Amino acid sequence: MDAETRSIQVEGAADLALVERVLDALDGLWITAPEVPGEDQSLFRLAIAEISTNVVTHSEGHVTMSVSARVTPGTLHALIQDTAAPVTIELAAAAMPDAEAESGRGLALARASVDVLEHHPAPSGNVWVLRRSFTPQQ
Amino acid sequence: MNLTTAIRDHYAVIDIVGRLTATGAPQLRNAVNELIDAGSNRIVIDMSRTEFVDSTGLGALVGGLKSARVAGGDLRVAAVQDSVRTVLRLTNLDRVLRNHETPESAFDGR
Repeated sequence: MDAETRSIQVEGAADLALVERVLDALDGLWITAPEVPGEDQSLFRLAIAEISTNVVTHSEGHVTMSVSARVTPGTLHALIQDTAAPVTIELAAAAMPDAEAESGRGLALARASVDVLEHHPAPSGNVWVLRRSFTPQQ
Repeated sequence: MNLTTAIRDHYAVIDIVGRLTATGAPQLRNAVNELIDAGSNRIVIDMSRTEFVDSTGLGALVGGLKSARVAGGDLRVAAVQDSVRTVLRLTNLDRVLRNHETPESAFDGR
């Protein structure tokens, strides 16, 4: 890994405490990446929170999750992997519900917060790929 | 997330410090329901120290808004930080959860 890349990785049982650990780790990542503007930080963090929470709330039985994120020049990357049964997800169908809805915003919000959001069923579980470009601030 | 509730003269304030996510959302729902059950249906969420809200947190805010209105009152948000305001805008919730400058001004005029 080159000197320009800063990264975090958190893994463990897929539960909400793990999601909080991921968010704590991201807070630490931003300290090492002051060139990432605040809006890019918060939207990227939001997308990671939405996808990892989605993994946790849809997990049955013992599922582990691994979340890694890295900052490279001009791009934020994240990879979220779980050991749940591989599923098919129609990301394109994730629409923002109306204002009265109390749930169902997660995937639409994640999609709106990053430039790339992909889900791949894999032999060992599910893989999510997230990317967001940013213009470095001085 | 740390949540505290305070009763003022004409409204109640719920102060949320930290991140409002799936972990803390049930606590917010409970706090709103307890206030309404106790007769306080005008509720302000003080978000001056709420650094992050995800979709589950938004769901709890919308749920609280609906409960307060059913009880004849309202739930309003105040002092929302920029990052949270962006999330409200992306979800089109900035129209139903309009930001008020301060908790004290949220129920000014009505």
